[in-house]
Amino acid sequence: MLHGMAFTGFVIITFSAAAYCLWNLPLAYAAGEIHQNKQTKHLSWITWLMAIALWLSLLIALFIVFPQYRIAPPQGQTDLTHYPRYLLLKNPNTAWLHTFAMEAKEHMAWIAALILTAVASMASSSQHKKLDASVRSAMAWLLIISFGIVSFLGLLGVFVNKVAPIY
Amino acid sequence: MNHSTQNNTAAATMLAASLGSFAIGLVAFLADLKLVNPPVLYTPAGSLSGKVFIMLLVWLVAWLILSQLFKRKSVNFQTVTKASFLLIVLGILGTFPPVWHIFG
Repeated sequence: MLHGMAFTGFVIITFSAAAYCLWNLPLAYAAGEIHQNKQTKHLSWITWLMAIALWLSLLIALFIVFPQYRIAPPQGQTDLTHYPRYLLLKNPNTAWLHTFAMEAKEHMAWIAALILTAVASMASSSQHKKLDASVRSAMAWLLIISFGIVSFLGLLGVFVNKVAPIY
Repeated sequence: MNHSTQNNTAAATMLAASLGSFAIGLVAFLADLKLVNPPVLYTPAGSLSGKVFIMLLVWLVAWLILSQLFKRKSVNFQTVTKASFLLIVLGILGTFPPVWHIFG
């Protein structure tokens, strides 16, 4: 719940706010120093909150969710409801949810966290200064890539959770 | 902080993150092909803990080194951006299971 709905959900929702702040930077620069400082401060805060939320989500996944997901059932156990990994692999129709969805979720999400942290750091170093168009463009693309990764993995998480939820 | 220095800071940050991304992609890819055996640092999470540790190590060390290095010399931000995006794409491909199945 905390991993998927709270932290990752927060990150997905706030992408639009970060994109808005970044998109509006040139207008804020044109409007004067007060607007510029306000907008860069907002961008810095939003991106840091997103990065922190994503790291928290991933740490919860690594130390709490994932260990529960991969617990092996005792020998002779036929009811695999509480053993999600083995429940998915048992059925050929759902095996892809482990071999593709979970394997991608395990590894790819960390890339989004690194990228978002980079964006947050770039945004905070821009406070009280004007960012070059090339830096703003790089930040926008990094935001788009991390949004794509988080949304894609979030969707896979929904599929996995539908078939083999963790109790 | 002038624009050049500011761009250098951003370049170091971006390149370090992309090196970390590439690191986890490479380790995940090689581990699936059984070419490397990442350490298990937290038994309940298995080798994922080792892969994440390697990624964090590469990222933070790269960030430290690049931020010092880029302070002293001027860098071409466009070139660094292209290299960073290439590394990120390679990192994503390395963590994408269908790619493992092509080589595995």
